[in-house]
Amino acid sequence: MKNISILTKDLKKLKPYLFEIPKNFRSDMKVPARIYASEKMLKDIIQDRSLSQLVNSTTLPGIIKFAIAMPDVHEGYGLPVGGVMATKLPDGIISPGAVGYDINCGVRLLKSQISESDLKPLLAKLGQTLFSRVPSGLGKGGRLKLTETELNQVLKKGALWACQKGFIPKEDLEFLEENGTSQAANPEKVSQRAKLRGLDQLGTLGSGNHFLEIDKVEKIFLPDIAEIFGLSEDQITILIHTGSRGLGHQIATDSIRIALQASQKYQIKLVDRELAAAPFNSLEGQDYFAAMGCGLNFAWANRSLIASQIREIWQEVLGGKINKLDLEVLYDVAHNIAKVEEYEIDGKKTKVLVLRKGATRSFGPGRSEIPKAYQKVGQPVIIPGSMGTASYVMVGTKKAEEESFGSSAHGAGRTMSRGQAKRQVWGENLKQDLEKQGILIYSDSMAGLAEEAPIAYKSIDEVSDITQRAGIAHKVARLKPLIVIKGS
Amino acid sequence: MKNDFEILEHSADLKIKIESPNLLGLFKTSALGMFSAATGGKLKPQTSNPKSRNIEVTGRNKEELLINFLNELIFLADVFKEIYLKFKFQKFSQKEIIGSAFGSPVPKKELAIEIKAATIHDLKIQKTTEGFSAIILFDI
Repeated sequence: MKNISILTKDLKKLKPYLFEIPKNFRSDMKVPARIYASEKMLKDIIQDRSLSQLVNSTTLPGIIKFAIAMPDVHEGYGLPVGGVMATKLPDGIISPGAVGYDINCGVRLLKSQISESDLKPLLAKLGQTLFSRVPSGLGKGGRLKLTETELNQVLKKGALWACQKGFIPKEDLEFLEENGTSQAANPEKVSQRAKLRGLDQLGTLGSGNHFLEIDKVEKIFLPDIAEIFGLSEDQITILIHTGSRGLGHQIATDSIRIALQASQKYQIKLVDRELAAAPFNSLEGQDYFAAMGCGLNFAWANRSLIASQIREIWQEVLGGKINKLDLEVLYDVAHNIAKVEEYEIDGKKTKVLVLRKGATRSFGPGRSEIPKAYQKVGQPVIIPGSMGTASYVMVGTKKAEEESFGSSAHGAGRTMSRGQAKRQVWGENLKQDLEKQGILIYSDSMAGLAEEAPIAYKSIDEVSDITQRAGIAHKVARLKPLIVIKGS
Repeated sequence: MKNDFEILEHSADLKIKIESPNLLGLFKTSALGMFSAATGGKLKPQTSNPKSRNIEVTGRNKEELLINFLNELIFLADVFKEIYLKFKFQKFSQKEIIGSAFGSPVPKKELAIEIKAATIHDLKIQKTTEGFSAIILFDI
């Protein structure tokens, strides 16, 4: 990988919260690289290699306008986490490393009909029941063991499969990005290895920074939009953060291996082998898009099954004590995805391939892709913070469509290694500190908890502030956690 | 130089430095380092009756071979809920491995992190007069 340090002097300030590394910074850049950040945040961002990785992505064939880093950007491999790029169709590249190994890692937000005071007497019982029944963590199988035939249906249909099997109501589907089904998915393009890994993982959270969270709406910023979203102060909401599990990871592994060979075949010069790519309209490019579609669908089905389990447990724990037990979907957003989307470019409506790796779609009013109920205001953009801090529901904007390929931040972004976090934080102490703040934490591993401590992440308040000031999403509501269940 | 691994600092992923007097040792030590990280450094002696899993891996060069080898172990570990610390190779070259990995079951509570994949990011197997070294980045 080309690893040239980037200093603040290399960055040109375009607007108060938008900076650019010009195309002439490095001779192999095809377009500039842009970063949404404050000046204060930039000083931290340049400490790792995220901007160098962003610059590497600007060398890819077919890239248009600029590569973009969101305020929560951090170093990864290939495209940095918090990175967005777009390539022209039909022959601009598609790169599995610009999507990531956890295809369709994303979040689904459910909204309840109750408030914090309704739930308070049952909080601990709810937390314990969710922790013991929603499969999470390493080595734990899901509640389903699928046959390959059934798995192929999941890969083809995604959330629709979950609906047809009775796990979720059909009303949920409209409120999932892509209605929870990638039409490009083709299970024949998924390896046996990937399918073997997926057979017993549907309905599981996984580990690391995946979680299930019960929150309350702590503050409303835009009351009119909050009303359309069905959010009100003190309302209880539920956040599910997970992705495509081992199946998605294997699809990415298989695809990167093929893309390395394809890069040689199509004479794509790679400054980072994890940016291995193929033209979108090539056999390899289309095969990856079809396999990635299956990963997307597995994740949407996965979040649907977890939502189904939560609804069951909600009825069980709260039933008889509280009326109004419906849990509706606010929205479901994907963080790691490649999609064909239309934007106005140089005055012309143009379809491009947008690649988001740790970024969220942020469409404003009038887009047909978003639920009818939201078309007057824009789509919900759900940005979870680090454990025990806060999360935000924001709304997408026209400005995001104009400036950032309809994208905004996806979370808080790590700033500290897991080792360092464990040296500074004792998991048991963290649990007790958070409990003193009224947050119940459930995790199998105190070490795992320490790794996910808030000090290891950027401030979600800062990330959402900059996102707001940059105009690529606007705050609608701030959520405060009451229960956090970690995969471990 | 002896077979050794060291977990390096990285803000989001897992980075391991591997050293070995020979290439075969580098591959085996990479697996050891990876599974050590996966179990939080708590590797136990293998079961007396380990399961043998076939390994057949190729690569266009030794870096790709190493990543493909590690990713094959990640696949096996995920499917069979095992870790692999002992190997027997019938064939080992810079482009191909044919052999067996011997697996010990790992109780779920002994897994500390979930390794999604070994990446080829920045990977260069360095050869010195003393042996071989490499730094591998894993997505977790």
